[in-house]
Amino acid sequence: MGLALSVIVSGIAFGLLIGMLAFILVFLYKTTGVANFAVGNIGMFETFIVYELWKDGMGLWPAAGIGLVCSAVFGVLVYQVVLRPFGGNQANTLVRTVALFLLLAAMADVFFGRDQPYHFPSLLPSGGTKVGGVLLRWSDLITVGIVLVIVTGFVAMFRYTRTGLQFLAVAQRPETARLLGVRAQRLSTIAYMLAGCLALLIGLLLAPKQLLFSQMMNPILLFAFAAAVVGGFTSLGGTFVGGIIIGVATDLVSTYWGSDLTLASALAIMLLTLAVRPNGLFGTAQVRRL
Amino acid sequence: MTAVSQEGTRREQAGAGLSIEDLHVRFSGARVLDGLSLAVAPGEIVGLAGRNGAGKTTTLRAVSGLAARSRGVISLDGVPLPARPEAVARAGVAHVPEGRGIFADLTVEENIRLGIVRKVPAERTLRGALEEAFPAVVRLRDQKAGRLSGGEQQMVALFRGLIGSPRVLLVDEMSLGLSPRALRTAIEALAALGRAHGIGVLVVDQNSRMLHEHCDRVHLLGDGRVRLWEDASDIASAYFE
Amino acid sequence: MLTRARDDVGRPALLLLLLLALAPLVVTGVSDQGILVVAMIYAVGAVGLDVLTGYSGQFSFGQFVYFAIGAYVMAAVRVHAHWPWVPAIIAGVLAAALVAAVIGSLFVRLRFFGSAVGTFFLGAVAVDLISGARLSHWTGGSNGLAVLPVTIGANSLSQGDWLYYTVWIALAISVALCLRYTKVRAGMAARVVKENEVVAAVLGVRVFREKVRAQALAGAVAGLGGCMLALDVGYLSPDTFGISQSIELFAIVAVGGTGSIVGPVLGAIFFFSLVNGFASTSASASQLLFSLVVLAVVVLFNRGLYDLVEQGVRKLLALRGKGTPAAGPAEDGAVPAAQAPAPGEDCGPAVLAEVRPREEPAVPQGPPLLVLEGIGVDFGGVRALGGVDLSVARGEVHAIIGPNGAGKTTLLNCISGIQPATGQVVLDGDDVTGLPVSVRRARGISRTFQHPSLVADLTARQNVEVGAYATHDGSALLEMAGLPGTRRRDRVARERAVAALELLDFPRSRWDVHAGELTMGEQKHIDIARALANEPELLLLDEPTAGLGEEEIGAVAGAIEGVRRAGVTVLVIAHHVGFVRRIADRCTVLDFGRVLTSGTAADVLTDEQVVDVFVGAGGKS
Repeated sequence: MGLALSVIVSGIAFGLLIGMLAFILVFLYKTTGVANFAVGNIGMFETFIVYELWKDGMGLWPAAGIGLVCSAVFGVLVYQVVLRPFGGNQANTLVRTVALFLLLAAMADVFFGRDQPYHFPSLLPSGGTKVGGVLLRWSDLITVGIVLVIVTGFVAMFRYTRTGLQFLAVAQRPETARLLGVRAQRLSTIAYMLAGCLALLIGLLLAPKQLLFSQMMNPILLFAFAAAVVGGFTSLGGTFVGGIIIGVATDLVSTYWGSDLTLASALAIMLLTLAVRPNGLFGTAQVRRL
Repeated sequence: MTAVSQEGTRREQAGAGLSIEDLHVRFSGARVLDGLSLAVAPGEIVGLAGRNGAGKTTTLRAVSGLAARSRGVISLDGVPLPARPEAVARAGVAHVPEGRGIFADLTVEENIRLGIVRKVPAERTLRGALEEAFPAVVRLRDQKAGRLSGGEQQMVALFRGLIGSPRVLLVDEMSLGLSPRALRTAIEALAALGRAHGIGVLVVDQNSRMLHEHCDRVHLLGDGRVRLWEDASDIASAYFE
Repeated sequence: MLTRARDDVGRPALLLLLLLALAPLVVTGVSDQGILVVAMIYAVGAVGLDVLTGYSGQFSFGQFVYFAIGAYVMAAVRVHAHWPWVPAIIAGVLAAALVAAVIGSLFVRLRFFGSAVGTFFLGAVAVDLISGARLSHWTGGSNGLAVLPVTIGANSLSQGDWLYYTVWIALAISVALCLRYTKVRAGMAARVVKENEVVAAVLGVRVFREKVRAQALAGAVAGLGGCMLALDVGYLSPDTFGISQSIELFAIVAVGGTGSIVGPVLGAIFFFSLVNGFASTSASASQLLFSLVVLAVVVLFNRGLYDLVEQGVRKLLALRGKGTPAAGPAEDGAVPAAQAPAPGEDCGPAVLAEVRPREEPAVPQGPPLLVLEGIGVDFGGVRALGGVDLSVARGEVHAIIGPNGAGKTTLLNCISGIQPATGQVVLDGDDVTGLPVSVRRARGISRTFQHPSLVADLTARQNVEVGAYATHDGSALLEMAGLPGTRRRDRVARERAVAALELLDFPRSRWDVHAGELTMGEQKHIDIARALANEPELLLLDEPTAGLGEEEIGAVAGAIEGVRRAGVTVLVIAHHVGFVRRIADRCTVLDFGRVLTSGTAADVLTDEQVVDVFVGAGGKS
């Protein structure tokens, strides 16, 4: 029982990371109309940059700070150079993100990957505390805290700032938003800037737990897709609920049944959700006109 | 300059307000608009009638830059309007689109905040006038806009269109889903506000009687052009040909 | 990405296969030939992926799952069950097709985006399962599985020319199958599905089934590719079939050009020449180069290599002088719309004003063909239709008029079965309420749409042919085999299409023009012809005049009169009063989801109440 509870606690922490990546996916989907396959690898690549700086003798925190600035710039570049030019249709944009997914993995292999995988130093303290026989790791608790802070920040942005309100407007009715003077491209640029920073954060939290290598984000990207679908692909808040469901379930499955079934179980949860609720737990139906 | 100059309008100087000249729009080869010319002076309320598919909505969309024009000049106070919708909005053209474009998941107040497109010093005074004209909107301020009735949503859309003190307001399908009484209230408020604050209003509708009753003049759109519709009783020639 | 699909690539495909057959004469180096072999193996599956993406509009980022199934099944039945190699390959291909059909039927319910994510997922799950302990008895787990050598006489099919030509044959089979698919009914139907699923369903196409068929075909050829990969590598290990390979395969199709069958083959050859050209420096550097190329292609010219080559060849032929047959179809599309004769001979505004002379009584006698009773529809609490009663007599033209938002299109949706509603729909005495779209179509209800939704890359005539099949049931395999039964069916469809086009007087010179190049008026005609080709009892027309000029409206009116003379009952939504007056026997006015009045066109159009609805009652209240 103690083991199961510990697994659930670490599953929740992992689930919040998944939820955060899922949140980025949905946020970008809502503002730019496309599910971005490359967000995971964007985080991976940025984490490599921080790693290189650290390896060259810089402190970990300064390196992470510089990495965050680079990530913002990187996010802007991704939108302005890869996704925006000669604006294609939805399918074309999707394929662009897939091409970017390939490109970033290849770039990481060429520039940083000679001796991968690497051990990545943790920003968070090790160890933990026991509460009622259940081990709570500091890193997990801090992860939960970080995610809560970020969620609060986003909620505040959507509720109290003009830019946040415009994000919601574009997500609901892109055309009407433009009629109200909302500069959608500027918003998309901001969205990618934020997405770049969040992706780095995920990379920094994830890399110490597993190892740092060019394919490190593939599993969590899949989990994040599953979480987004479970939460309902149009619901920003639902992504975190979906993330926790996927995180806990896959943690339990890999502990008790074997790690070769984790992805399969996430897929099964996703398909089951779709079978019961085609729009996910919190999603709304998309109305189409003839 | 345009077909309407004969009218004794409130135009203070040549070129003030919205002016559309020789507008052409095509959709996959079909001529939707074919040399349409129309002007709306500050403080004037102009109606545009025509049967379904005549191109009324397209006219408004072309002004806002949502529909690409193949020829023609659209200018505001003598300055040509850009082709991007967000830039048109910032230049001072507000547009209540077909179906009203209400953000159902946002509150009424949030919807209205989105209408403040540019910094305008007169904003406070117009808000006061609007709150007087549409008291229901004030009462519903914290409701989710999606829960409002069609008539209430129309009020919110008009409120949102005017709050940013535009030079010109375009209203598409004013009467859609409104009861005759709600419609009358809405358009009377609209006309009064436009006149009081020098905002030109262009209303598009199928309901030509309403337009004739409340507008300074009504134009009929047919075959991609407009002509002035002077005799309100001459319905037969307008629709039944 | 979902660019034009082509069905005229037979000759380029043959040429490319011939070049590949002759390539060993020029490319003599063992490693260079090896590169071509791998390229051809990928191409076997890439062609199938093109069928899926370019022709049926579905995505797959997990196509190497089916490569894996083909390869592992083939190797496993030989090792464990001692099957000979030919049945083993067949088993591999069939297993891949079967799994693709099953998984496909799960994923096609997810839209465009869902299937992209789902297949991506599947690719990762498959690798986990193959390398995991659960299937290790069959797959060898992460240790891998040796492929038993395949020989004909003393010659091993796993090396040299024998390998090369075995793979070449597999590619030829795959290309031939996929080309054939694009030419038969199933392929055309899939393209309608890609364009618009609702329209496809109304034309009687089994949307779900056609999508699964494309999945199965793509899976089958991927399985064949997997078998070839097994021959080539001789030893199967899970990381040969990872998600990177699946995504590379998709990138190959994107770079080669979707909807062209030949493009993906070019893409595969291009990819492997590029990768191996730089293999000496570093494997990852070549990956980097390739992903840069993919990105450049999808950003800068998303139609892909095939389109580039095609344009190049056209320019060359144009330089050589005109009259070359290959330049013919290119010229065809260049006919300016203005020169195209307008359909129908009686044009001009004057025609609209004249009231149609009636020989028969204005309201036809006999039992009604269609009776609606209390049709009601709610959209999330908003009453779109509030109990509509309507009766349409056999042989009449019945118009529905009313202001925007009155519920006219919703009413047509209820009759054709797209929109569930309360109340009863009775056709010819039979209650058809609750019957699906396809059954109602078979009972004789056809319809058009406000936006024609033609398949832009099919010709006008082909678009009509899709609508001309009495039923879209039947086996795609039999169609591809070209058995007499399916041929007869195709011939009947072609004849019905011709009959429909002739009935509408559609100018012959425009029959073989791609629908994307037709004017709006012509598209409306083709939409009507497509609905008419099924020889319906009742034709529902949704705003056939919207967005048309006076001349074109006259032509549509002429077409509807032709339809009426052919004995088809017509229910038409219209706004143009002159048009209604000319064509309609009776008229029903809808306002706020209710029937305001109904009667002969002449009476209704002069009714004071109706005038109010059209021009607004707001002023009176």
